[in-house]
Amino acid sequence: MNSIQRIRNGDRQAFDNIYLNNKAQFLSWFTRNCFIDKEKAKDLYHDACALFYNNIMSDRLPMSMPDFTIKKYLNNAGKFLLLNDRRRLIMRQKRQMLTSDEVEKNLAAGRPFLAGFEELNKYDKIQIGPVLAVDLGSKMPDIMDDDIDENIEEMRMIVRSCVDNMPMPCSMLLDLTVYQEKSYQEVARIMDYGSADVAKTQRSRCFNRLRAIVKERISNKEYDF
Amino acid sequence: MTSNTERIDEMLECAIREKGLKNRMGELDAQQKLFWSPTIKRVFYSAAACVILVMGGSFKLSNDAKTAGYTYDISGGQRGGAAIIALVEDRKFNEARDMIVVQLAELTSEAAELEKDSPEYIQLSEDVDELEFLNCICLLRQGKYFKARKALKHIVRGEGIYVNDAMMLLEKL
Repeated sequence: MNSIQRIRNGDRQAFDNIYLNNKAQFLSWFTRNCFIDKEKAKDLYHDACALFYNNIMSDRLPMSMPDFTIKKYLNNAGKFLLLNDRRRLIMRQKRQMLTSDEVEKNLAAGRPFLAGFEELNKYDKIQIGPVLAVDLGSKMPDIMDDDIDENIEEMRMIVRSCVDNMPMPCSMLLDLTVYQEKSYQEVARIMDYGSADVAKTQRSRCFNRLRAIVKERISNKEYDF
Repeated sequence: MTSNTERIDEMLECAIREKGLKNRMGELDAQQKLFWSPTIKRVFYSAAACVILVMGGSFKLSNDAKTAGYTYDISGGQRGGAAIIALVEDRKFNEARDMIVVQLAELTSEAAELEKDSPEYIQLSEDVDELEFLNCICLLRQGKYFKARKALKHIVRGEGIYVNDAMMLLEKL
C-alpha cells in the first residue's frame, strides 16, 4: 500500500512521515531559488501539504500515484501557490494603475523568477501534473480571468476566516468529525454527549450555522457564483 | 454542475481539514525544534565528543598493548608450552587461553599433592608462572589493555620467575 492509499485510509503517521521527509529540501529550495525567507517558505510548505492532503481526501489524486512523485508534487504545488500569490499582488498593483516600472520596482530586485507580469505569464504555463487542482472544484486559474480568480480567492479567505473563528464546542466537534474522521460513537464519548445520534445532530447544527454565516458574508460581497 | 451550497460545503470541509492539519504540522515542527533545542544540541555534541575521545583513547591503548605483546619474543620448552606457543603464533588467542586455563587447573591440583619445598613443587610453580605469563602475552596481542595490565601486575606481585619480564612490559604500556 503506498502513502496515498494509507493517508486515504486514515493513517496519520503516513502523512507525518511525508511532511517530515520532504520539509528540509522544500524549505532549502524555496529559500534559495525564490528569495523568500524561512518563515514564508514554512507557510508555503504548510499550504502545499494542506493542498496535497485535501486533494487526497477529495479523491483528486490517483491512489496509484507512487511515493517517489510526492516530493515533486509538493514542490510543484509550492511553486504554483507562490506564483498565485505574486500574480494577485501584481494584479492588485495594476488595478491601482501603477506603471509597469513602478510594479517592477515594488517587487524586490533580483527575483527573475517573479519579476514581471510577462515573466509570470511564461511560468504560468509550467506543467505541474495532471491532477493538481489549486481551487476547489474549479479549473486551473487562467491568468486573464482575474475577476473570477479574485472572487474565488476572496471566498476561500472568507470560508477560512469563518472556520478559524468558530467557537467551541463547534470547532472541536467539526475537527473530530471532518479532520480526524472519528465515528459518532467516539465523538459522543469524547464530547460527553448522551449518544451517537446527539453527536450527529450537534454536528449538523454546527455545520449549518457555519454555512449560513459563510453565505451571509459572501452575499454581502455580492459574488456571482 | 455543483450548486452553491455544495460548493460552500466542499470549501468548508477543506478549510476544517486544513485547520486541523496545520495544527498537526505545527506540533510536528515544535517536536523537531525541541529535539534540536540549544540545550539538547549542547548535550548531544558533548556526548558525541566524549564518545569520540573514549573511542580514540581505547584505540590507542589497544594499539599500545598489541605493540608490547608482539615485540616480546615468546619461547617454549616447558610443560605443554610448545602447543600453546604454536596457537599464540597462529593468533588463535582464545584457544591458547582456553588451553592455559585447563593446564593451570591440572598443575594446581598436582601442586596441592606435593610438599612445598620439594624440587617437583618448585618446577610446577615455574610452569604455572610461565602459563600465566603466556596468558598475559595473549591478552596483550589481543589488544586487551586493562586485562593484560592487571594480569602483569599480578605476576609482579607474585615474585615468580617472570617478574622482570612483566615489569618490562608494564613500562611499555
